[in-house]
Amino acid sequence: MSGRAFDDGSQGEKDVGVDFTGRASFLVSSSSSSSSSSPVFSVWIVNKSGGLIFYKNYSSDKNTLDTNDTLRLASVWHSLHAISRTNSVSPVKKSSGIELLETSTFDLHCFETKTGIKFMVCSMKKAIGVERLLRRVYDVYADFAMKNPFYELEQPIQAELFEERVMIAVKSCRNANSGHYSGGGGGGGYASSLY
Amino acid sequence: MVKLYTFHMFNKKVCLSLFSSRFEFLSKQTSFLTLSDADISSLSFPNNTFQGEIVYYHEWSRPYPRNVNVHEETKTLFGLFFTMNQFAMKMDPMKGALGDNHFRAFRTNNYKFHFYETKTGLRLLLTTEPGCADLHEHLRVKIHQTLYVDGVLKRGSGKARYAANAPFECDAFREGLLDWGKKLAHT
Repeated sequence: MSGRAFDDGSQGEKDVGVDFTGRASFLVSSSSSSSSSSPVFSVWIVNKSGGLIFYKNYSSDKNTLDTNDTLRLASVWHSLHAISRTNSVSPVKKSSGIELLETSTFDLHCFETKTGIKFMVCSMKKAIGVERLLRRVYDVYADFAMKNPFYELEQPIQAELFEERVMIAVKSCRNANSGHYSGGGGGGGYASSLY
Repeated sequence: MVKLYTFHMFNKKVCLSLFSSRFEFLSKQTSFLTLSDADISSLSFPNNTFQGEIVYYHEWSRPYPRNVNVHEETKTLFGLFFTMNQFAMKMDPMKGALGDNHFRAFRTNNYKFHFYETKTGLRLLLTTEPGCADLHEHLRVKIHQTLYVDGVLKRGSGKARYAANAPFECDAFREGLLDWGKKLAHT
């Protein structure tokens, strides 16, 4: 499962240099008020008790959240996710919890595994291939955090290789979006992974 | 074919009572989420502060029965959208460069929750099936402007006059809502 995903990742990586620069200039020119050039703003991983175990900011924006803010936001999200399943909110039984949060300036995609770990990606509105990115980060987590003999369960992930692989996944998501926005091919393959 | 589940309307009453008690203190904070733990424990809210007021409720269908305790449902829903709004504001990667950030909707595997807050502080909550498109404009123009402001607030006169943002029962509004739901279901 993961082996194939990584092949995809490294193939994507080959075109990253070329496409990504194109993408960056495209975005800067199209959204003048935004200082961010990436469709993926940040990646979050929250453990099953609501603790933040991984956070990485990928937007070029300097004005980012500090460590306390990220920890707080992660646990707030954990609670909101749980509340969305209660019968006070949910009109239907057996809800999965929030998968996508839409706000006026960004989308937050969330994927919860069977073991209760939540992967979150904060992206530009209408960015494509984010679902795929989430699954890929899950693969990376399984291969480079869980299989790391020094990694302790539920604890923050501090592994170079892990961060590197997440970066590759994020870049290939950027690539998918650059194809999408310039109207060319490239993005076509990713569209099928959307709902 | 869009399947609709429930519709709630909340007024601003709760928020006002929340801020009036410690308005000066809270107004210094940029966001509720930036309060430290010590700040939060120093705030003593009366028990009913977080109790919202549902102005209107309509149910098309609800496979998961409503919480029998309406008081609890009100509190949970109010807490949910209030926190969600703060969360969205805090997390905004543009930091307000594109204007105020608002929470608009969230989707789970089997339902979608739409949210719209008017300038007057009325909150409209709608749950539908998950595949539903963005209903922000519908909530804004059709339900709030046309059905509520024009159909309820401006129409009544004398004794039948409806107070703004207060709980109401209005047949015209109910029918308008049902009509809108039918039209939406056929698009």
